[in-house]
Amino acid sequence: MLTAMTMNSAGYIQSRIAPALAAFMVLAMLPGTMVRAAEIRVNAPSGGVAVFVLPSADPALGALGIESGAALRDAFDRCGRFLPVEEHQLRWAFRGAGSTAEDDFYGRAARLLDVDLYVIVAPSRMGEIYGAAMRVVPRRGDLAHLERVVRFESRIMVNIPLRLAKAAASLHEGLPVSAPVVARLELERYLIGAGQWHGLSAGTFPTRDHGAIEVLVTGRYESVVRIPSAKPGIESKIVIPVYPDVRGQSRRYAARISENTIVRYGAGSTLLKNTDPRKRYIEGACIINPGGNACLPVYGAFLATGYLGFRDPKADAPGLAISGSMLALQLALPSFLTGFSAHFFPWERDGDKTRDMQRLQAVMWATTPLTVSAAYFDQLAVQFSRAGALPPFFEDRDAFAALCSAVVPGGGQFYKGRRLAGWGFFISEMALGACSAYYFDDRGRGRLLLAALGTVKLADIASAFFMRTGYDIYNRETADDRAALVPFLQMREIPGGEDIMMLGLSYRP
Amino acid sequence: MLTSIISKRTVVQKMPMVSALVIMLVLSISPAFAARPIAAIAGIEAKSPRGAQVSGMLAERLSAALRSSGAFDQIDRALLADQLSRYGCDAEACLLRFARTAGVSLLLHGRVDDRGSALTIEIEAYGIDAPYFGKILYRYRAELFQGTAVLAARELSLICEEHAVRALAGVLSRFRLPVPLIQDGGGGFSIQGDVRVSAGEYELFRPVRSVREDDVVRTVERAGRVRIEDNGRVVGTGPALPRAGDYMLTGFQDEAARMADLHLARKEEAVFQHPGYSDAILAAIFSAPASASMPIMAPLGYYHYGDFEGLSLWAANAAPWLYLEASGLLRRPKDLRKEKRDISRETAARYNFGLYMLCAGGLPLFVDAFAHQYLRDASLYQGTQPVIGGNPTAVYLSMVSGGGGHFYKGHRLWGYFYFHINNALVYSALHEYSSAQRYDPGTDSYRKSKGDTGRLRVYLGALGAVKIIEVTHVLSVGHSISAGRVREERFSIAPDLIIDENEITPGLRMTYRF
Repeated sequence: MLTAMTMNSAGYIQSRIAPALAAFMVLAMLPGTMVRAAEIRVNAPSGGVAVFVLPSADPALGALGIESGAALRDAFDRCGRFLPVEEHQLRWAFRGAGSTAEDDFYGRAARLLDVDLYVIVAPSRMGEIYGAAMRVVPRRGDLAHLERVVRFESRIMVNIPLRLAKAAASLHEGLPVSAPVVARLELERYLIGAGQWHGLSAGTFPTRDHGAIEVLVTGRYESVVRIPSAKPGIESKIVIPVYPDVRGQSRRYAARISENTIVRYGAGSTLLKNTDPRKRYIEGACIINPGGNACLPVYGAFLATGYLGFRDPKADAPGLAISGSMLALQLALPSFLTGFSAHFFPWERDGDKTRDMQRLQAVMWATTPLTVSAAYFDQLAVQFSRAGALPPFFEDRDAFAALCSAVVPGGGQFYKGRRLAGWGFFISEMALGACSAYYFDDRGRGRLLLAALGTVKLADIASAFFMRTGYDIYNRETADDRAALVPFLQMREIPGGEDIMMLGLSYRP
Repeated sequence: MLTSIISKRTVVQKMPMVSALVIMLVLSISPAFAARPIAAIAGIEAKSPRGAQVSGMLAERLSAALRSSGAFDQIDRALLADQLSRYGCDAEACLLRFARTAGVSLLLHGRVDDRGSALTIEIEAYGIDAPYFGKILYRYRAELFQGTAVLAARELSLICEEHAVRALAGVLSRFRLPVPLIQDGGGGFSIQGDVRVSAGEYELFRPVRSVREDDVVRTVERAGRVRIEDNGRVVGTGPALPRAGDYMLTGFQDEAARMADLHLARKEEAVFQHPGYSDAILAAIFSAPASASMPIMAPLGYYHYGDFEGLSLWAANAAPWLYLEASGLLRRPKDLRKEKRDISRETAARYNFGLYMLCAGGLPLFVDAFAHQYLRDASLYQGTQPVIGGNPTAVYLSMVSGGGGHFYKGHRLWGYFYFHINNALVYSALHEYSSAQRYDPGTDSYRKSKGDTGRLRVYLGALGAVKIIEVTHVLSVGHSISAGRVREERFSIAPDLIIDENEITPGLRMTYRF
């Protein structure tokens, strides 16, 4: 190798680097060496993790296994507590651990590597659903609480490694830096096996067993610290209260999972493959739906959803019934309140129509576009759920939902597939708007009603922004790993075409 | 960790001891500090075929940029990649061991993540010697959203070049090289002839003697200051006198700035068609029609280009001013005069403001609707772009409208900032300038009552001051033609709202990205 490199390279640098590279490679490839090669010691003693992926004859599962292993190593690397064992070290350990057919093969490999923790990943597939089970086995007593088995399933293969990585990141919750003392230097100084990679930086840190320690200089994996109030022995551990950014890492993986899910189920890849679904969505809301409703009130809202390319769309009768009733109420309420004696049109005033009543009628008529828009968004929520697709702008779903709610009462809730909440806000805001219009001249009551309307509107916008989406395909893929009680209020179609209302608490174990 | 793993192993493998010792001997002749620092590019990882293509280009461009900087010697990239991949050395710890063994001062490593519609480029720079001891000294991350742009090999190559240069400029601006003092034979000290160090004062560092001289991380103390004279002699300026083994730190900030400026100038030259006064004249000619048609043309422009963020911002920001414009133009004083009704100062001011919005006030938003897309195309090397790219046009737009220059240069948020300030001041000034007219039936005439001229002067003065600041500002910022969103290492403090699916936690984020 040395000869070949010298022959292939030219000039001073190559002639200097070639032997260095050769030396490095020789030393790196001989993990059992007895030579104490200070020149290669960059990596001070620290926790290690071995990631073992069970082999599979299925090429797809093989690829999934490789991706999962890489993602797990990346997660451990980013969290900075357990340094992933390198590939060539794994190969060396496998050679020394005997046959894979024997019991505890991976345990023996982990012992050879002397890691603190090892992880075994078993990818699986059932039809279109990919899965992986991850077993975390700690080898140190103080890490016993990390032992666990987690399983994930997904229709999106690339999400499996990310979910495993997210779970691996969550292992680091509340894990401080546990740095071994590598060497004792002079002047109360010690070399410890933790550095920038562990999240350590220069400064003073309080420790439980060694008092305040001062980190003087940090390297990538080692640091020089001053410990004035204790004399720790070599190999003893110093626990420094510096914690990994688990939440940040989890958010990062969650964002990638969400992104993959939107790519897979987004309207652009499921319904409208050769056109910009965002433009279609806006055109549908601003042009097609008003036009459809002008021709065929309420039912036009359902027909307008066809513009987004749903195959065999089916109208949702309860939604149409609610929106139809709302529209009828808006047009006929003033007439009804006056015993059908007042003129039907708001621009005509007669003796039976007071000024307040005319104002109410004007507002009711003027807000009919909002009703047909709500009807449209409601029908879209149904169609997207049935088609197993996600609406356009879903990558900015929170902001877009808030925008929808700002324009159409309950619009953001409909956008996120929460139909009941959407109708709840719609009816509340319309009722408050109508009352405000009617009592507008009554300053006290009018102001109170307007304030209530403003409050409900703000609640509508805020809830649209923060509310979790109601699309099962998305929620399944992005479900949080943590156990949690989640309240839900949902309207869902069951096989046979019947709609059921659901209110309850769900527990994700 | 590796050492502990190695030392605790029960299996002892056979080793070619002689070879190793010979190699160690070769290693031992390497100087502690490189005469000229050595840089190595330890591969750019990628998973997809397009990612691999981009990573290859990026590595090549990084290598070229390193070469052109003249600051480093390089290890042959292909040879290094071959050796590292042959031995499966792709983990960070392994790369650092290699770098230290090979006497490398700066190690660059990166990855390209191809997610279909988006490409992410990450480059990390490790400083191997003091004062870094293997730490990451700089991290560069660029996210490239392709959108509807076509990124063929030519565009990708140019984008890679841009990010390679910017990343390296960032690395060079932060990298510090330890330059040891050597005895000049006459009882004094000097620095090695082939290390470029500017004359001036420097801080002097002295490694603390340790019982373990082989340690990777060494404590260092500040020994004092030295002055490098023009002839290269080193003179101690106290408090401690320099001695052999001391070193000072020098950097490459000038090279970094030159490299970044040069690349930006080249890009502007390549992607803008005719940046000059002719564009400014053209803009002046079309100002009034553009401004008048803004309420229709701007949303259509945003919509046409699929710029929905721009459309949302336009709707939210333009609405109050469009309302004032519409109410002013629909309720004209002339019509009120015909009906012999009083004309309030508010009505007159709105009318005047409506005229202003027709002639010039709507121009910035018209510019934003179209320039934003042109700049995006320019940023992704989608051919040479007409109309945009000239400072005279930016200055003209800033002078006649609020934030026009900033929109023209692609700084949308600054544009809206100046747009609102400008409109508020113009409206306030017009309010003071406009006179209320009260109809007197007795004389069948109107009596005028003037506004407060003192306040008018204040508003006009403030408007003038804002204009001066705006024009100066627009001249000081460049065109927003970065290929993708770049996140560089920096310290930042920002309010933070952490939103999980289950909870919301308000907080303050203090970040030092390294």
